[in-house]
Amino acid sequence: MIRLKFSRRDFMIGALVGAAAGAGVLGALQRKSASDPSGNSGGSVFHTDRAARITTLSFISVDHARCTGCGICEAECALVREKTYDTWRSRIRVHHFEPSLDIASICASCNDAPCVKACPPEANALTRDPLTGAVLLNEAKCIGCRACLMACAKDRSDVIRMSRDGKKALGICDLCGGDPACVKVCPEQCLSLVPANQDGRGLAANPLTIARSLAHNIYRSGRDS
Amino acid sequence: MSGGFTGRTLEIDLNRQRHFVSDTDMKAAALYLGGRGMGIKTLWDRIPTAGLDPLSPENPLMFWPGPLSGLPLAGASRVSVVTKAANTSPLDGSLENASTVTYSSIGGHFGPALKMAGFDGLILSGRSDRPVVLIIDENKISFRDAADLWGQTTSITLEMLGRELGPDFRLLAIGPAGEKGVRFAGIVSDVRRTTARGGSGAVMGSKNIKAIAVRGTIPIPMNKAEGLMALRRETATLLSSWSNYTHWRRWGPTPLLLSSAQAGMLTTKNFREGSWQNIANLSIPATEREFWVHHTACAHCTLKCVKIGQISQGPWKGVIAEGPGYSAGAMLGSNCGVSDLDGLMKLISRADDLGMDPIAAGNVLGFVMDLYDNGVLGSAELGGLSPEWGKVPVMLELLDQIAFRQGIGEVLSLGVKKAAAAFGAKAVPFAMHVKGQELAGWNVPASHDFALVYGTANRGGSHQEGATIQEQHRRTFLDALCVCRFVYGAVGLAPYQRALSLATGWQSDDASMLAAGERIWTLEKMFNAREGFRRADDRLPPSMTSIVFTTGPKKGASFPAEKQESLLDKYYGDRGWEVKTSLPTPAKLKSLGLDKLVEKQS
Repeated sequence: MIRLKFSRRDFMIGALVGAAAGAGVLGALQRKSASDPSGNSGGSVFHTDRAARITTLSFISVDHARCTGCGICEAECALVREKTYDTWRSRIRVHHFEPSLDIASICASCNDAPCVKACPPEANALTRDPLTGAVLLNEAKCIGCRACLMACAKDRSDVIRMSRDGKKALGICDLCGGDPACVKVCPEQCLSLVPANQDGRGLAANPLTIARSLAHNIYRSGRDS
Repeated sequence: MSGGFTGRTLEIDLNRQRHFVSDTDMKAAALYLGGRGMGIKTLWDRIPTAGLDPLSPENPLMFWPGPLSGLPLAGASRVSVVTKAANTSPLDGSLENASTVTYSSIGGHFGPALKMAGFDGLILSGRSDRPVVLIIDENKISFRDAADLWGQTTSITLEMLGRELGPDFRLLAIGPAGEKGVRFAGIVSDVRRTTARGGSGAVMGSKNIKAIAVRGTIPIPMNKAEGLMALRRETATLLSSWSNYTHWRRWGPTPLLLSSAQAGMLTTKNFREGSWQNIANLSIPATEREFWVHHTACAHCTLKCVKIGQISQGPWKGVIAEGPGYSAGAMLGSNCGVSDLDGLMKLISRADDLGMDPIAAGNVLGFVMDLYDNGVLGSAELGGLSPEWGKVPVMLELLDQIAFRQGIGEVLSLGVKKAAAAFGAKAVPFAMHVKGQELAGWNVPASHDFALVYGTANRGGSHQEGATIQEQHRRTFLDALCVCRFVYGAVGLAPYQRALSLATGWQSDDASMLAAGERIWTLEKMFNAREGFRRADDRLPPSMTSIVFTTGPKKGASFPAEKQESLLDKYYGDRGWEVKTSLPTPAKLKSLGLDKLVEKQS
């Protein structure tokens, strides 16, 4: 097992990584008190109240330190969502860094969704799922202008890419409508669907930024002498 | 085109730095599958005569994924590296450069990436006039000048290339040992796996290739994609219900060091003993408590055997290394009398950085220490060094001297067989090898089966091949599919036989599987026979028969010389080979459909 001992300072260095999970927990607590008037949540961690789910903005948080880079999430996403082995069409992608770190990169459902804002009005291919808050891509409407791709690459996770023929955008996670396949299949349980109610800017970091901050935590004894 | 293959093989002519794509020989693929099988078939076709210098431009260096590579299936993550070995030689010394075939297989992500770049195989021939990195970005093939990387360690090379090319390329690189032509140099991958046995790193260095980068995302055509999707889930379930599943995920192969020491099968102090009093320092739970920081997996596998750690104290604080896996832990650890984990991990890290086979490196160091201990070599001959058992700083110095071929390292870089010959008759009994290939981390006196494994393996003293004829054929079949032996140990062969049928549409039953294994094995044997290897080359070094364990649970165990002969007699007889020479009979060759192939060249 991985045994990481974090000092307070290390934890602050890893804030980008920690923020994802932290914000999620905070969001869950607030949501619980605000929208569970029945008060009978008891010991169950599942949402029983449909209204609570509908107003919850969610995203998939990744415990990057535990990711082994096996790529099972990639394959599962392509198989379940696209009925294909073609992982280019997966909405989650695993990137490898040296010294050995694997970063699973996935759409963070940013609150302010720069991709949605960038989508030209005449196309109007990107909308938000009223249930989960996920960004939905209507492929039939996509005109392949790359505006969303540029917006995401600029200062967010850089998860959007073009299809092989260059005609459609790919890679935007719709959270499988609220029951994501990747979360269920990850053998390390690195992935979890959590509610969020903070600005997406803090959650959507590109893989290199995450890898750099994570390296401080994992390889904490510094570099080779 | 049958599913499971892309139908395209990438050939690189390094003399002119050109590439071309040829059609994969699908008739051969139906008989030899892929991986190790396509490797030996192509090697046989391209090297028509014996005695070719393995470090000459004409020796092809080949990377062959298998028909299941690129599928999201646990275990199908490997790639076979096949070439003419740089470190083996027959007893009959009439041909200067005679050597065996070598087939080394590594896990990780390189094999699937190469396949998904659209290639069933990658064949490098010729020699570049300057150091280069070969970059395969799906259909775009390019060469990057490697003047800045030449001479760098593998970890720096991988890090620099990773930063430059981005995180979606999978990488292989050689270190200084491969560049300098150390005979047991390997190729190191970005998940710290080395193509260890047979000196493929030296062959890559002789071609002036520092590294290979591949990016591939194109899905492989499949005959029955839906069936494979179901099989993928079944195999994952089967794997997770393996009785050893949680232990293996937590500890990987490291606990084998403990169980092997208890069974008297460990190699200690150059094979003298089968157990090691300090083995607990080098294995779990110490590794987990003091060293490991991160676990990494091969493509689509949940076993996550790659255990990455960092030294947190002492002179080597900050050093990152992988393992100890069983072989590296036994050979650089107990075989050299090493007792401390930090020292062992620094040695493994250095061997990886220099790009050499950790098994052979541990064997060579154990050999030198044994010679020093017995007074055959003194400090004067060793440039002032005193390699006492377990003295890590001296071992590190020797590793560097070997990799850069300086001082005593010049001779040691040839491997124990040739080094012993150079040191004189007194040194010969200390060289533990078969066919010039250094023996690995499983000792023989308490487990006589390994005499057969080491002796009959077609790449020389390798521990991987299996001790019965059927098992040898099953594992050869696995190597041809590029499937992992650890996952095979957990789920068996059946899922992969089914996967082969579903992917290609070919009927695969037990008989055809074993026949494919035997065909590949026998063609490798014929390659070696042409180079002059005979029955006498299948014996362990005679000094193995004089070892008697003096301590441990198997105290008193030994390997009698007559046992050696009876094992070989039965083995050749059961195979239908001539018992006296070890050559396959013409009838045997005919039954495997190899007669015409062999005739064409004789």
